[in-house]
Amino acid sequence: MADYESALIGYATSLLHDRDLARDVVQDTFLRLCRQDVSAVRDHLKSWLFTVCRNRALDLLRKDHRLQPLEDHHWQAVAEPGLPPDAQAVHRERLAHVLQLLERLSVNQRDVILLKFQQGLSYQEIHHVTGLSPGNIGFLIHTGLKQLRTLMK
Amino acid sequence: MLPLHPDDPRLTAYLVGELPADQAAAVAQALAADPALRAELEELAGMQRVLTEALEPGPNRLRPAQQAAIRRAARPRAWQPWLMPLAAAAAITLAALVVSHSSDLWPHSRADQPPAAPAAVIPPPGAQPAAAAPAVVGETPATALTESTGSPTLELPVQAGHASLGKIRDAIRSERRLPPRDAVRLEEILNHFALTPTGLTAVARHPASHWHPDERNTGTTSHAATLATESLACPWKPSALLVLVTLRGNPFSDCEISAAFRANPANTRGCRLLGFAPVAGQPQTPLPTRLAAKTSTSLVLEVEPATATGDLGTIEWTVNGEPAAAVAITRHGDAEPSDDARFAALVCTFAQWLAGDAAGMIDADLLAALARESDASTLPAERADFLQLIDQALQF
Repeated sequence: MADYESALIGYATSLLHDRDLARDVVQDTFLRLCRQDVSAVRDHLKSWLFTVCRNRALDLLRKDHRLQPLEDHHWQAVAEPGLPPDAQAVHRERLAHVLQLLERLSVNQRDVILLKFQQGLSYQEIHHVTGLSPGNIGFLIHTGLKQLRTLMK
Repeated sequence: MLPLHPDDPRLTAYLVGELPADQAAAVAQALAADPALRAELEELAGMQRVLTEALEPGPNRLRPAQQAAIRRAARPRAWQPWLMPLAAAAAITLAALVVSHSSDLWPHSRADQPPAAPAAVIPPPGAQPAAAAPAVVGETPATALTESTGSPTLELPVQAGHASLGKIRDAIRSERRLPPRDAVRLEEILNHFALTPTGLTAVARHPASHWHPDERNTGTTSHAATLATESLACPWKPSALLVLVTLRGNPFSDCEISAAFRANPANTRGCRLLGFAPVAGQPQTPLPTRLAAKTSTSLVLEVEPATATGDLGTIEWTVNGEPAAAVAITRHGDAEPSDDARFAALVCTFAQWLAGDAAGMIDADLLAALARESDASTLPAERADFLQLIDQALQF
């Protein structure tokens, strides 16, 4: 659990913009793993965890009709509690800015960029999580980075 | 030379190490030959750095209760007592084991103490031989047995303290160790929680004049006390049943209650009252009979059926000297037990595990499995805290 706890909460928080909700989703993800035949997922555990986590988060977003970009104030809930106050403020500001820019990408672009640059998943693992083909994932990441660069200028 | 445009996704794939070796080598060659491509790669690498730094997850942790719930769920499942139907053949096999190892399977004392003499072992009429006789066993002289009408009878106490759980919490959470065994009082832990069995229930009434001045001598009656029962499979002994009994007083006045389980010798192999062990060095006193107003007391009996069906016995009781309706104890097949009954079974399991009772039948895996079965997001805070306490105890 320790290997993936932080990464999954970070990922779910990026999707949900609410750390407490993200913790609930991650708890549910681990509980589902406990009910799972471990031998069936051992070889792709990381992908499995992110898939379940993502699906649970998207379910919540669909229920709340929150699949559209959020207003700025929603990012306040993403503050990092484990950092000193000064570093927390800087981190929060930088994170909020990047996440706001990510909101302007397509859902798929945002998704694969989070999985790649926040979680370090390979294209193949992102393929398992999202169902997108590796070729499409490469295209989405490439065009997503270029769009972000344009937006930041 | 690989023709490569700055808009080619292979450039990003090269940057993040996703290209096979031969393609990566070709991209490296193209980069070496084209300054525009190198500039594009630098731009992409800059974005990669920004994203990686900004999106770094940081030390996110689940809340302690969430971590505890996951650890409980992750422990190996010993068995599923609530879901496992008691097949008749299995029951017969296990009953045979009980007979042949009765002294091991009916522990009367803690493992580190000299075994106390059982209060009484009464064979039912005609039972032979004595070693395999059905027995009703009281753990203390306070639950002394009688055989006034030919049926083994177990007197039931109507009061229990509440202090033990606090001592156990202190030991586990403050002293970081398991509590001493003599601090573990099953009946006190059980009665820390309000438990409502959902099986057969009897209500005793008494003349209203007993308590309310306006209704004296009007011929009306009012609620005096309630006795509720529920049986469920015994988690640590599949051949046995647990019977949860809760006596509840009325809101206005104390009651004098005398209660006893009268076993049906044709259908019952044995019975014991859980908890209420004698306190070493203290004189034995008569059973308390007073149930205070607005209070309740819960007890758990472990009953060993001799047959797959039929009445196991009755709980007979009197309130303020007046007989109340007896409650028949039966096994309910595969009926799903209530949350309170499951929780009571969990409490009994935990208490016996802490006290070293039922050794060989109760272990950490069984306890963890039961705790997991009781876990739910809707659990009251006090019970959720109890599950957390079990989880902490299992870490030692």
